[in-house]
Amino acid sequence: MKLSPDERWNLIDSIADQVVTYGKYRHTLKDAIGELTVKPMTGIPIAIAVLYGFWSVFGSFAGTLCTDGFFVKLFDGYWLPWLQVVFPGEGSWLYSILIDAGGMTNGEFILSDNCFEAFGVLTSGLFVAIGVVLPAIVIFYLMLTLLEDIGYMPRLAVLIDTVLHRIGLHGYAIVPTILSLGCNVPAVTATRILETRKQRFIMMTLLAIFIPCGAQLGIMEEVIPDLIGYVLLYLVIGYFIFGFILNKIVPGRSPEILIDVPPYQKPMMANVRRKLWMRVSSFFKVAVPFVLLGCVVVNVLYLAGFIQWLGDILAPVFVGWFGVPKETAGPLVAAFLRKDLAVAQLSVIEMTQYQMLSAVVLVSIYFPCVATFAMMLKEGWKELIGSVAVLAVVVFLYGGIIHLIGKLIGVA
Amino acid sequence: MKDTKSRMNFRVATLVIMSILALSLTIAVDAHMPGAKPLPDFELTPIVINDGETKMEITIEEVGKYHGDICVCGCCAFRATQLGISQIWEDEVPARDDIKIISRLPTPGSKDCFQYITGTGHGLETNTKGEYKMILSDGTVVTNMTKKNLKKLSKHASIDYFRFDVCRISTGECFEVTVKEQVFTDGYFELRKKVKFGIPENATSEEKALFKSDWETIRERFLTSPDWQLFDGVEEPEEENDVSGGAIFFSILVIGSFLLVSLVYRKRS
Amino acid sequence: MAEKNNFAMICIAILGLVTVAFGLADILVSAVGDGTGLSILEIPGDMFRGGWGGFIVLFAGLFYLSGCKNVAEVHNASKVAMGSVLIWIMAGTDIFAMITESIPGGEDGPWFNSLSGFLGTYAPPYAPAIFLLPFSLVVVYYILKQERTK
Repeated sequence: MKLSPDERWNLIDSIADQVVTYGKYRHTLKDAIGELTVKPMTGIPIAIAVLYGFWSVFGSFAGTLCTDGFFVKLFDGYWLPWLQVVFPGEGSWLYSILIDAGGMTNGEFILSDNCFEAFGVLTSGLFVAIGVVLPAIVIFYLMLTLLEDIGYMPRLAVLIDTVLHRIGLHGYAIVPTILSLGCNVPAVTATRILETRKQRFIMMTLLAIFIPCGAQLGIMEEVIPDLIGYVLLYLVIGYFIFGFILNKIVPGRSPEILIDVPPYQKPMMANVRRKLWMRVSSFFKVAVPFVLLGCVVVNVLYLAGFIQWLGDILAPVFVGWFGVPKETAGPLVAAFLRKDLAVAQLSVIEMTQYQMLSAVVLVSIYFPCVATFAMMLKEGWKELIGSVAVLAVVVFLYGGIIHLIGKLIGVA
Repeated sequence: MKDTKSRMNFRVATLVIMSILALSLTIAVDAHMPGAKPLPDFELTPIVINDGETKMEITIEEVGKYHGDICVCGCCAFRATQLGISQIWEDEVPARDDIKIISRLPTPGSKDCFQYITGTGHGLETNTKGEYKMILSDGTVVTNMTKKNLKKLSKHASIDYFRFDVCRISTGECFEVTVKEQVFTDGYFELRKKVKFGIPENATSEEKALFKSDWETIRERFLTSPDWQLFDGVEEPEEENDVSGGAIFFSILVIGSFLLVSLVYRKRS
Repeated sequence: MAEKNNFAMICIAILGLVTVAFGLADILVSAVGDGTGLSILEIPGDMFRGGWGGFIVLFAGLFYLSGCKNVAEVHNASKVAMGSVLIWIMAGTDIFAMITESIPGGEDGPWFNSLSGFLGTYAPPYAPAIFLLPFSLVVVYYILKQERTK
């Protein structure tokens, strides 16, 4: 059937009459609240409050209730002592790898009394994966999903657009940035939201270097609760400084965007549940094998004396340039497998508060974990090589700068 | 000639007296802290013991008066004895002759305090006497408790010296009191060595001032801090829960939430 | 109607002033670094609840003050509502922290807290946002009612 232009317009009018309601637009309270959250003067304080709520709920649920309240007791009080008794061959290689690497004092094998120090696959590995990371990831993704479904995330993107343009990105870069606080792996995939190769390269590099994942945050909350604010401050400063530099030196375009801001709405529980399950399960498929593998590899490297050898070789750089003990070489190797495991390892090394701060920042900005590495490779090997080159320079420079700042203020 | 001789004798006598005065002054400096701030406000309950038939209360002020000053070591010894007695005798009042104290701290302040409490000190008139021994960490039993000797022995004092056994002679029960490391300021013992003994070199005026302020801080801690902050093995008393206050707030919270939820649902339906 | 609006303006202005005062107190106390309190009121002294949280309470007060003049107008009403939302975030996280603390039995205790321990966690003193919470609810109820009558 062929319609003439007039007939076509008539058809359009008749459909429009049936489906479109005309009336006077009234500015509602919901609209006015929506506007407040995107205007910088009012939107920034609201964003600060939302972040406060996010962080506070994260700490209370993951730290106070789950990890400290139940999992530490379960793993340190029951699981570890039970395994130490029932597993045969105390002091053997297999025992060290699976249960407890322990320590030697006067030629006697001393068992660890908590899962942070045991470093066995079935003890520290499971404790980190289930006792620390699981609650942290669940609450993180739950809150992120709620914020997305309420309609706050697009407003945050609008609000932060101007700032992110300074580092060659735009407002939507907030999505991979915040996702990365959960896990870098889906965040690397989410960089596809950005239009140009330049933007994707900058975003991938920044999130691989400066954004600690949820697992790492969970461990930091557990082992260095007093320093976590300073660690994040160093990372945020680094994110913007190196983003600014990358924007200047990386060729390419950083186009503007138009963001469709939906109205605020009540989240649908079925959607929230589905999203949460999808994110948590995929995280666990990636993370748990790496945590367990990490324990095995690190223990084997320790037992083979490789870590000691590496520590000795890198000692001048670690002690002289970064100002941290040479024993931190081990955690840095472990960081390639899982950064959360590396922070747990750092917690048992004797050092000053500032050295601990420097070491945790170094572990955070050091090589992305192997899972993220694999995802970055999928996005393009050229980008990966570029990111690694930037990373090497950043680790060396930023580590030295932190040490220098410590020296200048007399704490390093 | 006679005049010259007597003038010479006078000069020698003056010199001797001056030397003795100077020497006694150095001992005083060793035991006390010249120019120290006045004591902070504190409330320390007295140690209550039975001296034969007489029930007596020994206060820190009396101990300070006996020693000549309320110093760090005196306060520490007083608090340690108080803790040891409360751990062994609990609510009972101990008999003085049932108390035995073994100290590893060779300082005049702690010695005077322990001797005053056990009644073994010089010039004390008591009905009964307990026991006080000074045995160093290496097992050396100190019998020469002159200030000069104690000064020599305390030259290398460290946190390990601050350990005391308070014992009940009749039952053989003992409680070891160990001072927590964090009671002392960082580098206190090194500073003490410098200021008091010139080891490894004499202290500068800044170091002397720092030592004085550290000394005051530590004394204040011994006078005002609770036992669990001062000594190892003492558990922090659990705070008494304000159950009624909590119950009121919890009830308000539950009722408020219920009302809010029902209000929202009623509006919607 | 005008009288009613005037009354609402005065109430919200007073609430705004009190909120600003609490926010400033939070910031000042945390700058000094030692928490303080008056009987059942506690001003937190840490940088997180006192410093960061103090700024949020301060902004909540400023939202109230900037929107109190003509609360019948939708933009002003939204500012006042947003002030209340900030108070809810503060008080909500404080109450959530109490709940998470009240359930486990402690490091050396049993798995779950005793009844007295559980109730004791909810005992005073409370942070300023908890005291502001009921007022913020009333303010939002008033605004929503007004919005519906339009």
